[in-house]
Amino acid sequence: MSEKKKNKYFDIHKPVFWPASFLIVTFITVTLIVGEPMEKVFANVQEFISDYGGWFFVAVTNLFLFFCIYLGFSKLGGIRIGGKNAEPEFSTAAWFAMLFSAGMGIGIIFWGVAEPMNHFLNPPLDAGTVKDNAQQAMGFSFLHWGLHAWGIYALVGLALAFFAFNRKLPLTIRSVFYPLLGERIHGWIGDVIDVIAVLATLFGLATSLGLGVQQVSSGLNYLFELPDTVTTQVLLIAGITAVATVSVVLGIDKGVKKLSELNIRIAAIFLLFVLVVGPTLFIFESYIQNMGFYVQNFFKLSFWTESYTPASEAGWQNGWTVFYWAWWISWSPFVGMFIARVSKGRTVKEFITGVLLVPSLLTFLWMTAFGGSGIFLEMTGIESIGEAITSNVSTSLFVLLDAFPLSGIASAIGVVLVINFFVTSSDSGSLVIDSITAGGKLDAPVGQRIFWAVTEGAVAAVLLVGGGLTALQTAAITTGLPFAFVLVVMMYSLYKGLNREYAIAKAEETKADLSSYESRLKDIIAKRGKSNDKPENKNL
Amino acid sequence: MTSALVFLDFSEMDYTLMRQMAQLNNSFRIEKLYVAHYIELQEFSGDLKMHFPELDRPLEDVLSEELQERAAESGFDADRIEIVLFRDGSKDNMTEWINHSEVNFCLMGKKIVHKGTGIFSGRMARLLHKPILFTTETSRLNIEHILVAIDFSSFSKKALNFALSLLTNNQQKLTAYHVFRLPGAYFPFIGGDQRNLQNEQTEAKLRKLRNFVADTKRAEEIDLVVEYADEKTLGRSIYDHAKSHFADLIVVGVKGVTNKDELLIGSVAEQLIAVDKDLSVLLVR
Repeated sequence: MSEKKKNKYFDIHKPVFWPASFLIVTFITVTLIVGEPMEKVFANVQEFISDYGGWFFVAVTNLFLFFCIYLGFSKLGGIRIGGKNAEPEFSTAAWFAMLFSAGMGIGIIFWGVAEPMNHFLNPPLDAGTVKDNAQQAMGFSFLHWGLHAWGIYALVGLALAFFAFNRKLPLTIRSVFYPLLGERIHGWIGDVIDVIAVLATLFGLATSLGLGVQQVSSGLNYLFELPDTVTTQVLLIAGITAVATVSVVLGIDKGVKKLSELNIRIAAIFLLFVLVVGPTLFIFESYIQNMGFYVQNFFKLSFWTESYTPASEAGWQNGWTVFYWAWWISWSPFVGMFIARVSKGRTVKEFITGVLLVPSLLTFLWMTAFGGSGIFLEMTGIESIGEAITSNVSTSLFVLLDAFPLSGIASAIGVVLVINFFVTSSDSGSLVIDSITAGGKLDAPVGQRIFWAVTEGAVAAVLLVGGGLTALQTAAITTGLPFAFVLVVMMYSLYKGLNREYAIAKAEETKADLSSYESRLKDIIAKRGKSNDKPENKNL
Repeated sequence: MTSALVFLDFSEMDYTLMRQMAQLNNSFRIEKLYVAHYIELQEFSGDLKMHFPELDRPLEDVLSEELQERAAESGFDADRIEIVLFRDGSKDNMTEWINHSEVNFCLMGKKIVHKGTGIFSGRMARLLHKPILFTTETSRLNIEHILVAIDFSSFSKKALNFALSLLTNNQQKLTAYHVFRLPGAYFPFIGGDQRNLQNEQTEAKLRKLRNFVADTKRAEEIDLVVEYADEKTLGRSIYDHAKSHFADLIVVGVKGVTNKDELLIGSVAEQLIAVDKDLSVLLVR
């Protein structure tokens, strides 16, 4: 292969690309060779990390959220992303829409019904009555999908945006550590950080893709009675990844952008559909009440660590809260990079309030509409869907839709939606990973993006083969843990960076005056300092 | 006897300021001119010698000499000039000194071309109890058209009198300018009649302005203008009118009708001395 041709397809930052690729390929190979017993390995790893590291995840997600709130409302909140004269690239309405779309994805479609229903049927805290269990189920769902998730994204997004737009560093995770490492971000430490970011993103993404494909498979089983097996799922991944590759080849404007826009429209219609055919009044009422409950119990829910639960009954949190916190952390480079790119020109305060509130409120509505409807059906005894959901979570959306009119069409739309989200996630995910492995470039060659799109599909498939849902969750938790440490350091680094920006802005106001004043004094002294004996020189 | 104070900062602006002072001398016959400089060394750490290795005698001496020389170029006699140097950390002392001195007005630069931050001039505007004239390097020294912003407060009366004292010949023109807003509460109720209300108000304000000006006994020398502010800030309206009618100087009271004690300077005065407005402004107290 000639040098020129090589450059046409690959433009990589070798110290990041090769280690990351090596680790991923090794992972895929080992899982395929070992086969079924890997499921046990995954389960053990997951158990180990969440048993010993669960409290850590709970602590840091709270820390990230409160840190973001502090930034937004401290003196640093006035700092503008992109410099003090930067203007927003998008109108506020468009920006909100983009944040909404960042909040939409496979996850929310997969868990929208399943999660509240699961909490309702297996209450994590013994709440007592059925209605308390229902309320608590919505509370925990809001916890997992609400402010904490967006606190993580806001942290990463703000850090990326700040260092890319105010400091003009490449848009990649290592840049965020500039205040701590200085030029060393371009050295091996930076490479390690980026490799961790790539792995976290890839496995976080693969988890989503794996969940998505399970759901598509269940949907097709429901619609056409196709066998819902791992083989079907792997074939689906292959098929959908092929579509994603086409979208990658078409480029951002023709591919992922069109699909995302289409997707958001379908999702909106889907939500409206459920609002209309579902228990409309109940949804609106409970939306308000659930938010009240969430606010009221915010600290209790978010600091709860299952400490006083007897060991024999514990484990709920590992499977849910810890999994989510790890998953969001591993997703954060992906979502963070997206919100960073659309948020130039916003102040830190606008950024934090926008990113925390806008997607959270939408997600809450979605959760209330889908999960709340499920709970409504179960509680009122109109239709018992609980058993079907607990036996196979990926069917939950279709089980719910079945209880409403036009369920066939609605389920088909649901399947299309998930497939479409799979494609756009895979496409934009490969864009993010590609940009990190190319040293922060945004226009790396297509060949590379195809490579990453295929790799994501492969990892998702391999995880499904090696252990299904457990394997997916393990992947998220395992890569989330190291990246959580990265985020803790990132917090400090961002704080330093913003403080410096603030100090610079303050100093700049007087500095220009002072330095010119100093040079004027110098001139005068040069002219007069030693001129006492020759005063006639003063006009020279 | 009139005495004046000019702030020099060793920039090119100093020469403009001194020429301006010479012009003002025509109106005021300045008996005593204080040439002041504030030495801002707080930011230079360590020894002065480190910064200025060539310095072999007290910095004050060097600077005084330079100030003397700059001041002399404007044609003021040396015996009418007094050099005053203030060391840093003593801004309070400086304002105290000036406020208790016999100085009738101060002159300072407002740099438009060599952009400064306006921090120093802003602070002086707040702390000095003397009228301050802010001159830009682009303003005409020869004042031919003065615009006095009037809001019928006691401060605008002083501003008007001060402006009148600046007139030395009948070629010069003085405009008394009033700009008004309609109280917000009207809007929901007035509908289509808004323009009528504006015209009515304009008439009424014009009568009021005529009466206000009559008190000076020199009403025949003063042109009267009343405008409706519409969407603009009051400061912007005053500035725009002055600009479009080729005024060389805006005279304004330091505070307006909303004379709150805790306010050191009114918002209109604040807007007018902001660095982006390239017209000389005289703040009167």
